[in-house]
Amino acid sequence: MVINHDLTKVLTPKYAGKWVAMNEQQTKVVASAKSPKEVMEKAKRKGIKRPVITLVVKDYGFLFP
Amino acid sequence: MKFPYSKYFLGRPSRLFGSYVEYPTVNIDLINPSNGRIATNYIVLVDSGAAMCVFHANIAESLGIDVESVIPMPLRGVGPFPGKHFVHTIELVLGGHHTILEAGFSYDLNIPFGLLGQKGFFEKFRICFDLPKRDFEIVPKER
Repeated sequence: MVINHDLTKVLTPKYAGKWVAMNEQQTKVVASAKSPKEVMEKAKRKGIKRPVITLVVKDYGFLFP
Repeated sequence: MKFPYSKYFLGRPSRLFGSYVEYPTVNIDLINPSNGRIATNYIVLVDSGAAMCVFHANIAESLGIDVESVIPMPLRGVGPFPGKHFVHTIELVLGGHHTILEAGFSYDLNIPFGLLGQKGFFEKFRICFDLPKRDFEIVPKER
């Protein structure tokens, strides 16, 4: 399975503050929610067996000095 | 196990970085050893500057862990101050390799990734970052 590691076009600011589930290839967001539990349940209802789970922020420059 | 760095967008383009930043993130499974519940493919940052592993508290909640049932510990450096975290036993799966560790779970972790730090992770794996090649290697230490 080819996995996308360029997430700049997938984890976009419109999801900021939410937990999202991506498909296993990490090419698209399949669900978003306020909690990881809820997002995992939504993704599994859509047939994604092993969703990729993460919290999205509006700017990934959070570690910059 | 070799992993590529992953690209994440920058809200404000940077003179040094341009429009994106690359972080050494990996996807791990976390399993509650007491009930077998699993969080799949949780994205975490391999962070040599973190003293221990710290994950989001609501990941623990999704595994049925009673987060605040243990004594809180101070959390510094990655959240509002003073932050706190709660240490629980968790099973971590990376690339098919399973390990049990004590990890902190925090409601004050205000970054998008959980952290794989020194205690519990770097003491069990050899990690080699190769940013020029845009990849990093994680090898379980033989016991």
